[in-house]
Amino acid sequence: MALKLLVRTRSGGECELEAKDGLTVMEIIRDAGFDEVFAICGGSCSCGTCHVLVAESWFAKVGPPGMEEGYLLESARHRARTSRLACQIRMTSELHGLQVTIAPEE
Amino acid sequence: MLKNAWYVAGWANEVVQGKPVGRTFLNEPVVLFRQADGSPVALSDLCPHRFAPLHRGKQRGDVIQCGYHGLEFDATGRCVRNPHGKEPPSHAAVRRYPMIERHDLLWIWMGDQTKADMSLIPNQLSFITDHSLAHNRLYLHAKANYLLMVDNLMDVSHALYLHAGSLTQEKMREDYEPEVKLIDGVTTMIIRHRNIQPPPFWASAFPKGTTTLDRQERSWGYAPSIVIHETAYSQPGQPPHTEGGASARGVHLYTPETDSTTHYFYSLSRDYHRDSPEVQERIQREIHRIFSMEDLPMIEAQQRNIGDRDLMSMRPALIPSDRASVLMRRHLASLIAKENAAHG
Repeated sequence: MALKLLVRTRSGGECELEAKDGLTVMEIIRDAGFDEVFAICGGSCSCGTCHVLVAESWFAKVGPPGMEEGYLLESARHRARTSRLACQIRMTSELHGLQVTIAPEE
Repeated sequence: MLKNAWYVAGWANEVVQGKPVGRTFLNEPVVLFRQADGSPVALSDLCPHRFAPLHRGKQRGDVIQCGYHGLEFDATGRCVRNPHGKEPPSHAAVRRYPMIERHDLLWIWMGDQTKADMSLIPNQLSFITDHSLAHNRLYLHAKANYLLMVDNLMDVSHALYLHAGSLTQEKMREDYEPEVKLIDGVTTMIIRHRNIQPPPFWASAFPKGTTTLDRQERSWGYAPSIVIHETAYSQPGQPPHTEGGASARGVHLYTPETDSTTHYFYSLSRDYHRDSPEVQERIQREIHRIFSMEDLPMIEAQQRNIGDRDLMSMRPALIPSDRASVLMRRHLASLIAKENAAHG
């Protein structure tokens, strides 16, 4: 089954992306050609630039950030309760239909 | 740059009574002088008359006399004498910057005076004047933005390559796994190695023929730009700071001079060969050589490449060893953003 990821971009547009099982949300958004999720460290949880806000209804399933992720999110200007780094969310069938918003630029 | 913070203006012994010193901090020229009672003073270096540098004047008692036309200013910055007229104009005052002396250092507060809080100076710095240790100190002027200097210390993996002949052994490149945390605004790092031969800088700390030691390196990054960094070698299987080991803790105190130059104050405190003048002198030469011949040329070249661009805007290809420097920069950026927002 093809998984789906719903992304709201910085300009407010909504996109439905095909999400391959096992890829991270960062990889899916980046591979779809979005420049906004910079992910300058290539997804190694080292830069904090792939900041996304998970939709409230999905946050319990996605879960809170890990420790290292938390350090990077601490200083994120637009940090919110449902903030995560996209490179740390891996797609599974459980997350089919996941909705995220790309956080405003730092 | 963060204005509401204490920055190092100099070593305490660099400012002597009767001899004003001129230095620029965060793009602002400052004159430092010491009053008769020993207390250090920092005023704007611009004489309000025609903006000549006050540090080129004379100190007369507790007053600075401008070398150009003789106007005099006291330690509060008030103009107390105008030799050419009656009253000095009321706006002929210079700004006074809060200044305190602690840990043999002079600290200056460049921002809102009402926020100057002595307790913000990290207590961990007390090792600088610890009498049970031996100390080496130096000052360097770097032609690079202060953040590039901070990056240099927050990512000590550079020592594996840049200081390959002095501070590290090749074997340390294997399994290089720093643990980085951000706790209460301090970015910390710890890394351990086992069975390392002491590198050239450390060889003299151990008996000849020592080929295997354990090694622990730790650092603490305090906003805006202070990094404490410690290296501790110990006997195999032993924890750091035990019998048969040797350690040294250094502090790198960076104060921005301008957007592209930095004052670099450094102190290294060691627990081995404390009473040896030869070791003292050798360390002094070596740290001066390593910093000025290995670190500074590389960082200054980086600065020329980057210019006045913001590093992150250039999308650097960051890697996991950048974590500590990224966290330090991000934390500082959030403090600066808060300060600017409050300022309105």
